[in-house]
Amino acid sequence: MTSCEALSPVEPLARFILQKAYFRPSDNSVKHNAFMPNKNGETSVYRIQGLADEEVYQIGREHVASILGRTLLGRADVLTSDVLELSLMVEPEPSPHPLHANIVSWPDEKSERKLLAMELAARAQLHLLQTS
Amino acid sequence: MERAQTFTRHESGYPDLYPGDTQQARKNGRMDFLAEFILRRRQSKGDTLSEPQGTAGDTSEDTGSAAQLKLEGTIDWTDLALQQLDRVYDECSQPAWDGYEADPISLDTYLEARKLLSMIPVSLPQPEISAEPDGEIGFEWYKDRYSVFVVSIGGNNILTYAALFGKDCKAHGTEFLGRALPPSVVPNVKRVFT
Repeated sequence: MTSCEALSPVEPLARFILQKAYFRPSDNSVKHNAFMPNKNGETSVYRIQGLADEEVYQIGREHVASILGRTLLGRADVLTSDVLELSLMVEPEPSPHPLHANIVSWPDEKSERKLLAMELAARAQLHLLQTS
Repeated sequence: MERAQTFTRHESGYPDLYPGDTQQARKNGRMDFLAEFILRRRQSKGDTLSEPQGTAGDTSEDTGSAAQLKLEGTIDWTDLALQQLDRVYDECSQPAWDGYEADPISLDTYLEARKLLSMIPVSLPQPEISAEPDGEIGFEWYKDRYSVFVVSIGGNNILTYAALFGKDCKAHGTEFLGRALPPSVVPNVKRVFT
């Protein structure tokens, strides 16, 4: 894997949202659950620097939602600097897609992971897809 | 069915929620449990009924009627929370319910969430209940992005909490969930809304 030095601090990262319980429509905010790491201590994200919205959603549909048999609802964007300021790391992991990366270095203690996920969610920008 | 098999471990301690595991039976079980739950809550928390409640529709000028309306407000809060909990359990009791790799909510976790819910004073704002990716159930009190308190339980009598009280003030920790509500909950919820 490449270290996080390969990413610019201002590079945006998108976490694709497939679950309506992961955001609050009332104020367009993101819930911490959207950023909680999986059992391997990774939160899967995509590097979206320079991509148009439709290109971003195309990645989400083809490489996340359709593989998992879900509907893409939107995405939560954070900057790489937001992640680094919380003492987390971003590691490119291009096996499923060249722009794929993982947020890693989550602490062992669950309450601390929860707190960091809450801080990431507070900084995240929610972009929802229009659904009919 | 998995639920029926799992439930037999709890039949002495909890109501038979899913006899035969049919949808109607599940609904009946929940209604019975709800009735019992509300009755217990009214009996054990009668003192809270005199506390100010954010009861909608309290237009009566008669004090006796007003007390009755406050009681109804209490029941509504509990009822809504239980419905939300049941919905979360229904939607998230299968693996990968979030589209990624989320763990399913277990029956142990669901029942512990009911226990925690019964401990939360009705004088607090209603929490939003949701599933967490590791199969825990979370209770969230949210004011804005930086004013939020979340607790979660996973069926092992451990309560995990984290809170943001503004951009620079935060807290997190774990507590044992015994017969009483852990002391971190009420002050932190109140702090979110002050």
